[in-house]
Amino acid sequence: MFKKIFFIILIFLIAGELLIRIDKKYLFFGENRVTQISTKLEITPEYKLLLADSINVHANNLRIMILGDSYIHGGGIDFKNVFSQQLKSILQKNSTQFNHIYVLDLSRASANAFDNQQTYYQFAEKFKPQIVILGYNYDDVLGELDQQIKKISIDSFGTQRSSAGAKKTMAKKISGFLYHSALLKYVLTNINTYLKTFGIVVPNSEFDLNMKSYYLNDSSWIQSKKIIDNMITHIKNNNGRLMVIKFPEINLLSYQNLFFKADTAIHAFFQQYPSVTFIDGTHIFKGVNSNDYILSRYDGHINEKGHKKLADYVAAVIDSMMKAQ
Amino acid sequence: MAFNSFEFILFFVACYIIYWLMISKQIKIQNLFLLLAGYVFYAWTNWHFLFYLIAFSAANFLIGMYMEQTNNSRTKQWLYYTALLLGAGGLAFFKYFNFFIDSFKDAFHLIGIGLNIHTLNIIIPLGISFFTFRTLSYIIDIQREEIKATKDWVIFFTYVSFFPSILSGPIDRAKTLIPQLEKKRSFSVNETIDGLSQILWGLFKKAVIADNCASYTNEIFDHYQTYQASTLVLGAFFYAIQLYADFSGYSDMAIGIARLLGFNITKNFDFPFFAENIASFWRKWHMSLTTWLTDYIFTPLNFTFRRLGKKGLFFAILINYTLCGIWHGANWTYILYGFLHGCYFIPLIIKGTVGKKQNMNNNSLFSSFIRFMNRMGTFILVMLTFVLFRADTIQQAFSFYARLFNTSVFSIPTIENSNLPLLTPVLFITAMLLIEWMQRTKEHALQFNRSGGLKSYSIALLYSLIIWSVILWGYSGNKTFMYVKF
Repeated sequence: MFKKIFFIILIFLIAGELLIRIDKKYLFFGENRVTQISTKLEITPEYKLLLADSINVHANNLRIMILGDSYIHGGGIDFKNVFSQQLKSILQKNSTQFNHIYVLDLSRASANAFDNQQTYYQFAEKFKPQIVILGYNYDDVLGELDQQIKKISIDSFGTQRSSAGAKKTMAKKISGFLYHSALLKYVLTNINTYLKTFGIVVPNSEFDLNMKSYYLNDSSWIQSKKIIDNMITHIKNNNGRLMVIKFPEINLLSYQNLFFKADTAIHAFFQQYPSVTFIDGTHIFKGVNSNDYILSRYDGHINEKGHKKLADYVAAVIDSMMKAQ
Repeated sequence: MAFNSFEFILFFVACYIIYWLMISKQIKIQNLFLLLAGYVFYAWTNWHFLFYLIAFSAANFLIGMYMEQTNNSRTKQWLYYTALLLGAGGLAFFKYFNFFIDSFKDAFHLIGIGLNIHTLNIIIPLGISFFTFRTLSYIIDIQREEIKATKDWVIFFTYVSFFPSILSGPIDRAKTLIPQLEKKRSFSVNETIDGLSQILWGLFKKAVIADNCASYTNEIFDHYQTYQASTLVLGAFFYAIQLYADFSGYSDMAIGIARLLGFNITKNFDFPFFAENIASFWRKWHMSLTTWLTDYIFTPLNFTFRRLGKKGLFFAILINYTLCGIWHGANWTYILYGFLHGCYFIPLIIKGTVGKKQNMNNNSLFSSFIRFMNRMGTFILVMLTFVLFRADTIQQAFSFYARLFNTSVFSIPTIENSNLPLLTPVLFITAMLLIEWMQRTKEHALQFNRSGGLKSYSIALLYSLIIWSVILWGYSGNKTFMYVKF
């Protein structure tokens, strides 16, 4: 009886391992999910005008460049309702100061600090933005940040573990097998995500390591800071202003203690630059019913309503900034 | 509260534990508990209509009781018509009132008279068509003296609000469900395993097949004017599969859940896409509605028209299926859908083979070429009528049909949205149909003889693949079932 149960469980696990690997390779139905979003740049009218050299940077117009990842890009939301488009429409409605208002949305899903920097330099010369809005997200420190740092801390953490020990004991063989198991990764990721919605963080999970990279001041955060510092200097030298919006994990709004240490590190960094306007998105959504602004309870992205709220707030900040000038 | 939602799992697990561990010996308390559970389940989405459900149940219970007690045939007749009026009137008001008003206005508009009649802002109670048909069958069966009215109000109210099937059927008859409520249910491991298997298969069909097909059908039907005919054919095919997988998935889950509670409720689908003609299709598709209509509409009509011979049979079938279409909702598309299905019977009426039943007990993997072609033909005919089911208006459906029949039907189908690979759903649909084909003689697709040996490991592998498919590819964004709106 026990032997039969053991084999049935084994069959179940093997089937899971196989199907997860197949799914990872062929993405069966994966691409029709909201969570799977395009990582391409949106071809906006501003983008086309810029390519056609039709934006006169010497005329009386307001040029805003948007940088960031899926949080500001609005993954899963109709593009006409995302932050940049809402901001453009509010500014166009309220502002009489400028002949034209251009909001060049260069944000794209999965962009990290390095990608944002690259995008900025690629378009800054031509577009000459007066305001650069950077949608900052906690995982901007993840991914490849420059040619020296090939791997992020999480990957290197994994590499160290897998390469440790040349002599393979049975225990190490088993742990090695488990480490490479697609099934285990899938299950653990889902458990982590689910537990996070209850304010529980699994030690050494991706989220935990991401938060630690800030308050332990690890190499990826140090590198990110260098990149952002370069950008800030460049923007300032070109008479522009950087506005940083730190996006909240909207589904975890009630569990701000999870982010406290990382937030302290991020705030401390940006506050040393007088030329930077830092907007903490968490404060904008403080006291609201987060259910009104979430896309999914397992996901930190804000919905259309959230983008509108943020755009209203930022438009007001820009308005007062312009009046002060 | 949809069967595939997290709250339903919590709700049902709590019910199950109380039902079998705490009150399993007291049948009256068990029934009362089922009634309360039914009301909680029903009120979860919109509690306002719970009062309608309770009042409707009370009225039918009292009418049934008086019909049973009275010896005066005129009083009985009067009570009978009152109950019919109550049921049909409720349905007519909630589902069809605005449709009648609009159609009336349109008809007058055609002859140049503008009428200033306003429609009402009516919200249709969930499952009204299903629980109304249940009570109607109860009253008609009492009138026909096929059953006796129950004197136990808890049993009757539980019968009307039986939660596994209140929202989307199957439409259980009183003679099937009430006797089961009257006697003690006993826990059985085999029944539990079988019930769970049927729930799993239903979940697979709903979450993996239907919900994923929906992404494709929405894309194709929403932009049908930009697609070539071959893609539209594929869209119609996906929609037929989506409708089947969604509705039969719900029915499988409902039957499985009822099984876990010790009930055998009416089978609703018997692998309809393997039907060789339209009569056979309707004996396998939404069976509880078909048998209801056959018993209470078609048979009396056929009897009335019997002197007209084949013409009479045709009229009876045409009226029956048009009513079947109307049952689905207040829209001309449903009426035309039912009417077309009635017309599909003409060749069978001429050949005199309407009542001939198809033998499914042939276990061979491959059927003969002729039988295969018959199945394909029936499927295509049905698939084409489902376009009406999907369309919002007749004009939209005709516009879809017009684009369907041109030479681009022979081109390779393509879809604009590159996030929707066409091969994937075809692969999963093939797997579903293959399993159903191999299991077509069984009650449901995952019914196996649990013998030992290698076979049990093959079954374990199949179950594992299905469970993992639901976990990995079960589209969790959609929690509603298509037939709930009916």
